[in-house]
Amino acid sequence: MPQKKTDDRRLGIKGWALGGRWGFERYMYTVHRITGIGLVVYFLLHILVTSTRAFGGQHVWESLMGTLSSGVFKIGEFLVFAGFAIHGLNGIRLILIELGFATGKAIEPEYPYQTSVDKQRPIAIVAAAAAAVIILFGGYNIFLAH
Amino acid sequence: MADTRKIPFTILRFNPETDTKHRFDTFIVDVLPGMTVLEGLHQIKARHDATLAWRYSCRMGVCGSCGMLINGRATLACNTQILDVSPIAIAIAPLPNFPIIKDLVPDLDSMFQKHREIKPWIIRENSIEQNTAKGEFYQSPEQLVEYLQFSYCIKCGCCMAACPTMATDAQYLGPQPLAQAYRYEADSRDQGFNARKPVLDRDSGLFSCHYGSECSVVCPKGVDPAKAIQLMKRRMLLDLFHLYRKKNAELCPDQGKPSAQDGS
Amino acid sequence: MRQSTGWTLHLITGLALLILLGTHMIIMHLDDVIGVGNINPDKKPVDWENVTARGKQITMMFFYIIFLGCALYHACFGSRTILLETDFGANNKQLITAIVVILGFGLFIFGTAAAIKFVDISQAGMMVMGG
Ligand code: SF4
Ligand code: SF4
Ligand code: FES
Repeated sequence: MPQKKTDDRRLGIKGWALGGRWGFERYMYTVHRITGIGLVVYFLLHILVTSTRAFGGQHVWESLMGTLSSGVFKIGEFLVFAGFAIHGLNGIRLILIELGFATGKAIEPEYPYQTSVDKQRPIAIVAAAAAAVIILFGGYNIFLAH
Repeated sequence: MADTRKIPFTILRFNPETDTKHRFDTFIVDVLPGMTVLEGLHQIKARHDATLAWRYSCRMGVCGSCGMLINGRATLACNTQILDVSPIAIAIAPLPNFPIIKDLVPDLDSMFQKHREIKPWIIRENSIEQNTAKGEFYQSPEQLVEYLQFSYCIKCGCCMAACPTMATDAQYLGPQPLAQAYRYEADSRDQGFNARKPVLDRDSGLFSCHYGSECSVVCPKGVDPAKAIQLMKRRMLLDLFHLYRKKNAELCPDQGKPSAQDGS
Repeated sequence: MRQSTGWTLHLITGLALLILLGTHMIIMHLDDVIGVGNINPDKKPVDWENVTARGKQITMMFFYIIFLGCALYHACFGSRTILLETDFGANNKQLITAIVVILGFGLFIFGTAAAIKFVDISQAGMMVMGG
């Protein structure tokens, strides 16, 4: 009796993270997930923290904000800001693509093949560049201003 | 010969009858310019190890048998020249996301199963008219282009091996079946939207594609499954808001030449 | 449920969040670069004076509640999507959906209560400062 075939060789989570020699958009897929998860975790904490203003009052709020303005938390604040910029701008790209606006119509394939990936590439680049600019402004505001 | 190069091929080996874990064997292949990976495998079988197993048939990118992972990229062995991949070293494994039958032979059954699920054939509301047609369903060249590209799929499974959603979700329909669903949906003769809807619009269905777009990058036939999937999403969304209308081809009585009416 | 229903809402809340969260980020984190919506500009946006100044406005209360609803939906559906695409999630679909729904509604009620309660607190606070 042949024994059961090995695992089904599905790549698992590695399949998200390891783009290998593959395209930019695949990394966007993974980055979109990571920033999404990061933002969810932050957001859940954020609801609890900001609600102290109603349940704890001025003193609790001010001591909390005092703690949160220290170095480590500033880095956290920056990461959340950066995560939002990336997730939001890549989100616009995804919406345009998934509604079929950025992929182009069906074409007759001629070698070398042109795919929808090439079609949407400019949007991907613009989204990444815009995210970078916004992150720079945010970084300036969080670390350097005041 | 003057321009032969010796290139090591590192190949994943696995025999489910005797092995519990795969291993890697390395063979030195004499490579001539223009030689394909498939020819390299033949050379290994002839000169080094007759037990090496892989699947091929047409050796010209038509049958879809020889999909494998070559230096990290899922592609057809017959369609890929060794020197285009690397002049230094080649690593070959069976397509990921599928079980191994032996060595480089993946078991594509799960893909064929899902392909069947999306009903990959023309569905007409009136099956009598379809089966005993008294004429033709006229289709203009423009209507042909709407689906032609997607009909070139040779079911090699490369896209399924490259898809990141496929990597973690075994139930996900995957790029090949989803692209074929759109191939029929985009066909003016087809009326199967409602028949396919429950298959597509479920968890691990159409909307589990998040445009990693890897499928379109690797597809050796220019099928562009990622495009087909997004266009299918658009139709599904219109349908959700009851805005989806499709003009179907009418039966044109056979008069020996195509009817002047454009059929749409 | 049709997968497209959940996904469409995900898309709509995503668009709403771009605007709502964008505004929020501009007010809270780009105050020095852009500097809008800061009611007492000599204070940071998170200082109590500014927090109460925003919190006592009824429009702000609605802004927060809509914001909260959209963000929770987007977060919950997104997390569920990612979890269902793992082996654990695929085998425990109902469990994951239940956790996500309960967590989502729970936090929505909690956050809404906080936003409503804070209107009174900040109005009272303003009176103390004014008097
Ligand atoms: S879509 Fe392309 S990669 Fe996928 S099975 Fe068909 S031919 Fe192969
Ligand atoms: S575009 Fe969709 S189907 Fe294609 S690889 Fe990406 S997630 Fe998979
Ligand atoms: S052998 Fe037929 S596609 Fe490669």
